[in-house]
Amino acid sequence: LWAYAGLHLAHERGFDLPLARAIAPIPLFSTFLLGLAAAAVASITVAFGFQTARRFDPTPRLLAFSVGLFAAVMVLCP
Amino acid sequence: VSSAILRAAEHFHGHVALLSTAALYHPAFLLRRSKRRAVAACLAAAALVTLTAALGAAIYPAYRSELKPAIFASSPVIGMIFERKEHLGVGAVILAWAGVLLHLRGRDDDGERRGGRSAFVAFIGAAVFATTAATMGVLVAVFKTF
Repeated sequence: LWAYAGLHLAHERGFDLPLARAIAPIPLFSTFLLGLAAAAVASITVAFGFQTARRFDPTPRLLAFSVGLFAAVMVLCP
Repeated sequence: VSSAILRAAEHFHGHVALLSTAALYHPAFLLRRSKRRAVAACLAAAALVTLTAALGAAIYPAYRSELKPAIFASSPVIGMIFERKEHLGVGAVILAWAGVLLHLRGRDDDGERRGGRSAFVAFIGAAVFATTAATMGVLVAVFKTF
């Protein structure tokens, strides 16, 4: 969600990554694919980079914050 | 692609969108208790919302070339509503699959599902996003269609 929102904001400000333009000519699709790639990298990093079983403890609040942030970005900066 | 096919795909997209929006509330309701197992409901809801997004993505290029300029020319507000709707739809897909993955985590020693509360939050977020996107989609479809 953070990657998608960040890429979307960059697109709205006119700062499209060259990679995004290369992936797909339609910004919606390239933003989604790059966001998906970022999510995969982040998930693998968290899965293999942290050994503590308590790593899921803050996730509900972090996820709720991320949902709110994503909604705010999309509503305020379409 | 003929306009008849686009119109049929658009209608199918709209009906599946409403169905998947309702479906997303099912796992959200079931997962309010962390120990509850609801793999089939989670997978079915995520699959439905993904089908909705895939149908939307299929007709999106035609929307950009045929409808978007006309909508923005006649009503920029409706155009901006559509721009918001598509991103909220993507958010619903992301959160639905995040909810599935979190729900499929194993259990702790006390029987609580690890990530169970997070799966609940993810499906609530997906359901709210899908509801908002579906409502916006109906507003746009009433205004202009293929």
